[in-house]
Amino acid sequence: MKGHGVTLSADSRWGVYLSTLCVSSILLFLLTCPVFAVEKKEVSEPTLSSIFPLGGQRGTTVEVEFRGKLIAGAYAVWPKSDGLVAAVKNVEEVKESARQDEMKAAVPPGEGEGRKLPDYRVLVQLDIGPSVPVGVHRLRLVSPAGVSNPMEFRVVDHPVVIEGDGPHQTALESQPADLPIVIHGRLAKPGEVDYYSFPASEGQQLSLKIVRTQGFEGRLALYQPKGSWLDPSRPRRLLLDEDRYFDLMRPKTEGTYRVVQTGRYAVEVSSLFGAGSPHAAYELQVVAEGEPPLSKEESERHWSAAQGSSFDRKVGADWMGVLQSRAAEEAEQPPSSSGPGPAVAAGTAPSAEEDSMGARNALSEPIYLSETEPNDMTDEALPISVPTVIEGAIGRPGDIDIFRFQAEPGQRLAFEIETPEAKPPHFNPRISVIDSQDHELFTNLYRRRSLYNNNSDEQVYFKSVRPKVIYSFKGGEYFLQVRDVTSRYGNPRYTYRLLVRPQIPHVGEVSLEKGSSHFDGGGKAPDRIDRINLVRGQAMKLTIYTPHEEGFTGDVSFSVTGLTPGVEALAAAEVNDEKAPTEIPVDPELILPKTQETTIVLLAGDEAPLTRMPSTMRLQCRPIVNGKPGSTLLVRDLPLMVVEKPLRTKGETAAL
Amino acid sequence: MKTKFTSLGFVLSLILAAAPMAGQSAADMQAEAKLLSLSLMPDDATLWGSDASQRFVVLGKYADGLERDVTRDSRFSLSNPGSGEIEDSGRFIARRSGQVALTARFGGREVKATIRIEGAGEVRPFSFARDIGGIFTKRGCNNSDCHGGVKGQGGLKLTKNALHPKEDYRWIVEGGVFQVLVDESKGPENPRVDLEQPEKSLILSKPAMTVPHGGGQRFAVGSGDYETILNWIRSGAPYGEDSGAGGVSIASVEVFPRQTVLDRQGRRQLLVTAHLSNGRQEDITDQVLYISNDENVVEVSDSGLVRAAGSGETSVLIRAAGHAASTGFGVIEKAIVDYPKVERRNFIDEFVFNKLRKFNIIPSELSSDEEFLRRICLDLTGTLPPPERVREFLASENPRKRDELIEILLDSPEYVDYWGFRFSDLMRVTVTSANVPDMTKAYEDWVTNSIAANKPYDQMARERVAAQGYAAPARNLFYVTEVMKPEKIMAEHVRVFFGRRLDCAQCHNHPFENWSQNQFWGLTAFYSGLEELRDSHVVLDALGGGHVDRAGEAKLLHPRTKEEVVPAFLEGRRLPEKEWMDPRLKLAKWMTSHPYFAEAAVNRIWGYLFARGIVDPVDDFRTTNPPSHPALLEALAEDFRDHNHDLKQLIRTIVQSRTYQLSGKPNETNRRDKVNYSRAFSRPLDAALLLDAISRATGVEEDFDFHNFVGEGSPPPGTRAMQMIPDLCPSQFMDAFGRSMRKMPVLGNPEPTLGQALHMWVGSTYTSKITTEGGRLDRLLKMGASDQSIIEEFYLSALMRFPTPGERADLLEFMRQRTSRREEVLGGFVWALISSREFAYNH
Repeated sequence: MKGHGVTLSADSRWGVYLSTLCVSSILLFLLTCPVFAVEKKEVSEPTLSSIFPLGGQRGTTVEVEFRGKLIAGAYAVWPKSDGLVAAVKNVEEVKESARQDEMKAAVPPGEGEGRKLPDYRVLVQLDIGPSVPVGVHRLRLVSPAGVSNPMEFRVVDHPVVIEGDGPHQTALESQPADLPIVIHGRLAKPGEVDYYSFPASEGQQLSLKIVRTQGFEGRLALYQPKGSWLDPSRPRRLLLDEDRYFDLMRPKTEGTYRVVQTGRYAVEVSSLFGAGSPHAAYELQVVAEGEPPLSKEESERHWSAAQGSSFDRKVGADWMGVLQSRAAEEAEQPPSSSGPGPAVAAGTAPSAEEDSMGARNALSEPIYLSETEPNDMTDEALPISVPTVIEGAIGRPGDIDIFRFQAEPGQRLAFEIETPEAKPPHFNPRISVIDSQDHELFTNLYRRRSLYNNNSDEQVYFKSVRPKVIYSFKGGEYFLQVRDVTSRYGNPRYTYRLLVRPQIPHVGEVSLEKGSSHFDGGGKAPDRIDRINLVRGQAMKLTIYTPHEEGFTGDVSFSVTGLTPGVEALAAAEVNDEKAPTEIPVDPELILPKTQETTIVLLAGDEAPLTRMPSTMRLQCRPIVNGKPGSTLLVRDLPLMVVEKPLRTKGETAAL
Repeated sequence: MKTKFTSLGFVLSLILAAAPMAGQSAADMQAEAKLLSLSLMPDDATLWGSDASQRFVVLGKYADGLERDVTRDSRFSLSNPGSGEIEDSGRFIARRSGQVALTARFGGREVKATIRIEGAGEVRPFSFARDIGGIFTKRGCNNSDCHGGVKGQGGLKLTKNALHPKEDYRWIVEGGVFQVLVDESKGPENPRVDLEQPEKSLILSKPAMTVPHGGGQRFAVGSGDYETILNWIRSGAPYGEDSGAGGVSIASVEVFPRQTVLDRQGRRQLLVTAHLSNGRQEDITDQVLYISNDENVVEVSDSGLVRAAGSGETSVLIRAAGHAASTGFGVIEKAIVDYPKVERRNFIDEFVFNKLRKFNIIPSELSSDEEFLRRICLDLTGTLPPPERVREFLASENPRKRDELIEILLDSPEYVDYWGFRFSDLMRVTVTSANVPDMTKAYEDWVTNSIAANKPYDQMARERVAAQGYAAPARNLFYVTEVMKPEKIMAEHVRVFFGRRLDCAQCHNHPFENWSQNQFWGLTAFYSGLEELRDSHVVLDALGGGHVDRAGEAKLLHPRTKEEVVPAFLEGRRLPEKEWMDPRLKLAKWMTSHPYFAEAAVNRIWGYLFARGIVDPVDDFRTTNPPSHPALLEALAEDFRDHNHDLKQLIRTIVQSRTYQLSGKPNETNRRDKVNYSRAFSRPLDAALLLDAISRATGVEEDFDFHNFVGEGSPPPGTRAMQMIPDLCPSQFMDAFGRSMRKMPVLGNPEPTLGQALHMWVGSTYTSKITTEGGRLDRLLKMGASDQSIIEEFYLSALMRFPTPGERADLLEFMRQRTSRREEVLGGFVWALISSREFAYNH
């Protein structure tokens, strides 16, 4: 749901900046709300705003429209892959008269200041071969100015309908369709709504879903087209089951409805607060129960940013192996100087002592245990050993699952939880460990003091539930408790997989930014890198952030391969001004890891040949502990081009 | 163009204003005051203890329908004179245990009552709360404008109505200095009793005025009250029997009668009975304080004898130590002998018409179809029907057409729009309270979907009060970016769902009600663990274990005592700690099963439909603001509970009643009545409804915008004003017409302002819509419609009626004599219509 996931870094920046200016609370509120905070970015390289349609059926040919800036002269789609053949048919500037309408539209992601630049519309004929893998394909445009950011295009195995040109902005004029419905459409203007009507039979269970939207937050409603007594043109909205029975907000735009009366129904696609523009594309699905399921894309399995800090990663049997692959194997660690307690709390990096139980058990396979009720009380607690994977569910409101385990003095354990079905914000698993004296030692609730403290109340915090918590034990018997963070919600879909394991010092998810993330006082966010367009004769600074998880104390080295001729990667250093921290940790158990910051400069020499198509630059890293290197880890593959200093079109030059 | 419209319109509005609104006179005939029967109240009494007494009242039922108090004109006799004494006023004083029959004779009739006397030789144990606190209450010493005020008076602070006798005792015997928010004394603490020289005790000398006293003399030296206090001090000023330690206390107070009608010469003795904690009853008629809410209507003596002063309706408040009650009085000019038979459609009519009969008020006639149609459409859907529907309804001869229309409207999408709007106002759907616009929308969706699903209101209330997790109703718990203060949320919930205002008790015991500061903070403690996971917008309660360091964070301290406050229900019962994991759910369940909940809900809906609550204002239930129809309120609440808190059923029941469907045209008997629902009262349309009505009547939709901070989207075409969240949608028109910005629960109708007049005169909403291309007038002109057709069409679309013959003739004549262009004159006519009171009001 757009806007729901508050981007902490952006909020914090605004928060610090504005609080120092002592602005009024209302102004602060307005500026810190995600909806209001428009990130100012200059568009300096090819930037796509949208793609339409959002997908297509394999074995068909689709005309795809890209929109964006600095894509004049676009001549290719990248990457090229077997079966997915693209040909640029037309490139045109969006005329000013048309742009006037668009100026009222919602700001597409990534734009801002750059809206002053002219928009281009690129039509591409895309042949989707029958062997193209089902799933999301990331398509970029290549132009003389370089390679663009990717747009996601979903290849599916079922027929796809494109929204018709005829009017269908009312229920009575809705575009006819038949179940199952898969429609790609656009809300091309502010305030636009699209209606699609279809026949349905009594007793049919309909499942409606806006699978994806681009540049707006979609809304979905189902209607009986017949008018009301007071207004013959007014359709009658039908409540989806979820609207009728639940008070929870839904992060996804979907719902179900059991048809009461055979007849025609109309589904409405609209946007939150009437956002609409040529960028605002959507994919709508309406299917009836019992019909063949629509094909599902294959999910990508790789270490991504979400893996280390989300409830989605698979903490099954191979998870410890994955973590160990990111550590320096057989590394010797200095003896721990920290006593029992929260691992990172004391500010000392705990090491993996070779003789600790953690290290001894590091290689052993975890035991699988299925939770059995009743286990709400400590005297009902199931015993577990380390390492163990517990599979259970918060099956009812107020359900608490308790497990008993022994820890050796100084033993450092990690508790990682995955939520395979229901996820935050609906299911927010709370892990806590209680000692034999019934004292709660720690939880996975992380808090930091709020900087939005308008009333100078010292007791205002940001809190969040984390998927992992680590702790060093004094030794003895302990109780591990799992429940929802509320006591209100619970059902059989509130399943969890909880891994209790020794801590494994390792390299966390590495992130990459262009420039520096340090707050520069201007509220300007660093660019997340998804492509590199090096201007001949110029350098580009990349900043790499490497979390040292669970007390990893070694070094991390980086290597860059796949550079084109004339391009060099150089190590660099950066001197940071002292700035006020954007977060004030107040918890004794600081869960967040330390982060290493590395800077690399990419330099395209004056004589570096220009590239017509991108090559793939590979960034890798390697943990090194006590001089012993670990496995090579892929950080990122990025398309790289060397380009001439952009030649602006007339319109672009005027805008700049 | 605008000025032409408005000047032409002004002339036309005079024509419209001349439309007859004539009332119907009633044939009032006073009956001869012929006595029909006689009764004695109470007809059975049990007295306990020495010097126990009981007042008796003799009531005569007369042919004119009135019941008159003839006690002082009656003759009394006892079957056993040695058992006690009977005074001419009807007061019996017990002397000896046993049973005695009391006979009263009047007008050639006689009635009897049985009196049982028990424990005549036993003296009731002394109780500070009853004996001393009772005197303070009876003499008005602990009124809120005296020592019972927030800070007391002249250095002495008593609890209002002797609600907390132990606090009073400490103040009088030990002394004290009252601070509003802190418990620490900031000055000398002077006892008000002098055990060495009891007569010099301030607690005696002040009220007896033997020393200067700002409150004047409250009793004389040597009076019964003086002697009681003096004897108490002489005996060492003990606290005496402690109700908390098993002693006898007053559990409740009952007053008889609950409602009385007097003629201009009428009088009525009140009887006040205390129900004791040991199961006995005691007549305390002479021990309480009486206050008339309107001495122009009735006056009341210290002994509870009420006398008519002038016609009207009011109530008399009764204050006893720790308790309060009220009783209603109506004074009529003359009784109506030939009171007409009035049809009754459901139990609402029984209660309303019975009272009207009692008060000799004849209800207005049943509303006309035109009147009913406009009212029911606005009240159920906030929407004016199109002219073709008006014609269809008016032409129908189906005798059930009103009930059928009610069902159609209750089932319409516009019903969801309108009641979604009403409840969004009530539950304050705002960006300010929901934090961000999309969350606000989610909260509004929850309100609207709840209405669309006709969710039981108690469930809706529980979902809101106890909202937790990623729940949409939890979006109302914010102010700017932070969770609201728990005391604010609690007070709002009590106001919305209990119809009570506890806010004053935040800083001190409530000055007018029996709400204490402890009760306020006890309820607040249910909310004290409320917090949010900011990253995920999940709301939870940390009270029962949200975090290892919860204690310092979620602890709620009493502002005066600085002691930790734990969740406690209104009656003082504490929530056991093992249930602190989800305290607000416990509170929500308690609230929705409490009698206050249903009566507040039905009163609120009633208030929407009648422009006046049975308790009015609708969220100001208090002893000093009693309901106009207490039995009706109880019956409605019971029916609401019986129907599983079904809002639609409640609304259906009300609008099906004849009471709701009465005409707004007054008759001779109800012209001055404003509280008995004897006719319909008009009220201005809310700003959003008015704007929608103008759009409907002119056939031109409003083009809304969002504030810039929402983004650059636009509401879809056809969006109605009532669907717009106020602080997301700029609107000069709605601001001028007093729309609620939902900063607090809505109260009453906005007052007319100069800004509204200016909007009517030159505002674009009133002027440009009339001539907009594609609008109703433009379409009719292009169709070549005649003047008469256009006039008729606009009357139907705006007023839901045809023009009267006089209006039609005047308007057509005006059109014939016009000097301006036809469309200008017709534009002026439309302007006059939509600027008229008849259009801008629901009536």
